[in-house]
Amino acid sequence: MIITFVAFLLLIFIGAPIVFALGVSAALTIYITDIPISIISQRMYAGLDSFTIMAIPFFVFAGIIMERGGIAKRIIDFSVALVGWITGSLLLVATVAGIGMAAISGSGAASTAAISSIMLGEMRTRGYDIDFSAALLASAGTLGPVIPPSIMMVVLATTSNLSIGRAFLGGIIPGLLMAIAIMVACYLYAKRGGAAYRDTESFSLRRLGRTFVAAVPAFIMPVIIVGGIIGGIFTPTEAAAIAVLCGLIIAIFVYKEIGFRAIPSMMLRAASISAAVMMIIATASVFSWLIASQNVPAIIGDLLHEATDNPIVFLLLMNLLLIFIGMFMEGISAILIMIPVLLPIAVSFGIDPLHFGVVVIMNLSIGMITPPYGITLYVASSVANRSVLQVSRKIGLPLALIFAILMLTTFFPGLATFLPDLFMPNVIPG
Amino acid sequence: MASRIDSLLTMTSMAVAGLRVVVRWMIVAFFAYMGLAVLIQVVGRYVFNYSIDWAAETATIAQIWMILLAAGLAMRDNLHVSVDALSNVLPAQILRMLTIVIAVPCLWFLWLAIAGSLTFIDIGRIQTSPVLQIPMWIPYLALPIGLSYFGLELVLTLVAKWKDPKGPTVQTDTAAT
Repeated sequence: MIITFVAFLLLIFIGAPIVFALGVSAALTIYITDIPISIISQRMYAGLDSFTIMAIPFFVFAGIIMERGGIAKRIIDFSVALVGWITGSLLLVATVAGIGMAAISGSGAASTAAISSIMLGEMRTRGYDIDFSAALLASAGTLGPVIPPSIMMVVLATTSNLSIGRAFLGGIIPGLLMAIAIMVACYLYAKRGGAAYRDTESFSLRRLGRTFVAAVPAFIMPVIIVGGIIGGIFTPTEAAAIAVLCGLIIAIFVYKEIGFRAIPSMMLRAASISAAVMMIIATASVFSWLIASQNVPAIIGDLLHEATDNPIVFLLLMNLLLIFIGMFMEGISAILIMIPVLLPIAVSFGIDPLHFGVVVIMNLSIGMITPPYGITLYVASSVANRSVLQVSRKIGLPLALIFAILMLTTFFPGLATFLPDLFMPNVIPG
Repeated sequence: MASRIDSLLTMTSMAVAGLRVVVRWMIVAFFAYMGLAVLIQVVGRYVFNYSIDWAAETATIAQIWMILLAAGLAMRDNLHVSVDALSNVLPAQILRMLTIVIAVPCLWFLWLAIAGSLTFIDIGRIQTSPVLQIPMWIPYLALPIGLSYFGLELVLTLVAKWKDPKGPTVQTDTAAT
């Protein structure tokens, strides 16, 4: 088993794609220990042979439709009407739009890309500090995986046998708290920032109404997705397919931004992005089979129990570990590698698996804005045409405030479990 | 001699281009089928009050084919994530060596997975799916075919990287996180 981990870390370090780092290190172990080779193909097949994870390609597809179908633009227009009159308006607009995009698409990187490309130009024109603006846009992207629907949560729930509906609900309160934290960061920064940030538009109820009507078709989607899953009307996979259908109808017939001809190229893009995630699921299922068969969670768990029996200390240790991992690794791969080891240990400490899952998601979302590898940080910097280093100098304030929300959720499990227990108390897994 | 190599290269790249067109259309077809099957399932349940088991079964088979074929497409689109710590630090010569150090175990893994899938397909000749009694070698066949195409795109990517070790690596515009 030591060989597996050493080989894995070595491959990652020299820059091998994670999908292969997982596969090669598992195959090496299987090869040495005389387990039949065909277990590799068998586990990879089993990893993909799931109706539940079909939610991933559909949510990715729906996200691409949002991006190209003019849905992001309507959400930003509505956000301008809603918070454009407050000091630091555009920063707040970016955060509110971030909530809206997170509630529709399953991915933080996609929403950061969409919002940044629309808003950074205007921020620059108004004389906003471009590094802070980019840092803030990146921070708003961290809401993506926490606020449902979320691809990261689908992966988390399927790897840990939680209910996807309960996981989605568990993210709502922490996600909104994170959004508030980011808005506080905007306001604090804008207050000290000088005249540029006081240049606001006056509030108009008529405009709010008009932009709301334009954005209504977009806002119906989260209602269908989350409502349908919670109400037991659809499975998450069905909800995701319906999101694709609604998105296409809205983009083609209501907003008229794309035509039928655009569909195959969007499908290929979605297939490509989904395959990158799901091939990791496939090779990770070889890896996690090995981990389980070698009893790794029990061994590490025993070591940890010798050090402490306090669940809070354990969770704090996990936060440290996951933030460290999140600095270097993309979230979904981190979940696939770490959850099979960490979740059984968390349960042995008496921690609610759903609470643990939400904390993991928040940690890995924070990983999206921590240098050196933070995906939304990277996206926002490249749209702003600034280096990741320049932008990450300004990330401190929003990062600290989001971190405070992580701590709050760590200490108060109710923030994660209240809504799931209220709306879906009878669902057994999770 | 040189012209013969040139024409061989042209033919190879034309064959690869043709293969890519076929793979793309297969991916689109499988994806479209998945979407339709899932929507039919919902309509069947709520409109006709009739549970359609075969929809989920065939959609899952389409998913297996779609993902395994798109693995190669994702390689070409540079979407397979890696931790890209060294490419900014190391000189091009060493990065070039690393491409080979990475290539060998990756291809070895793909080869093992393809070889293993052949025994798997043998078993699939006598297995059938629970609802429609589809012979299981049909979904299993996606493994050797998809992984072979994956391997081809991997080799082509590594050759490109060998030529330009500091070239673009991970594309992040719409990653799934």
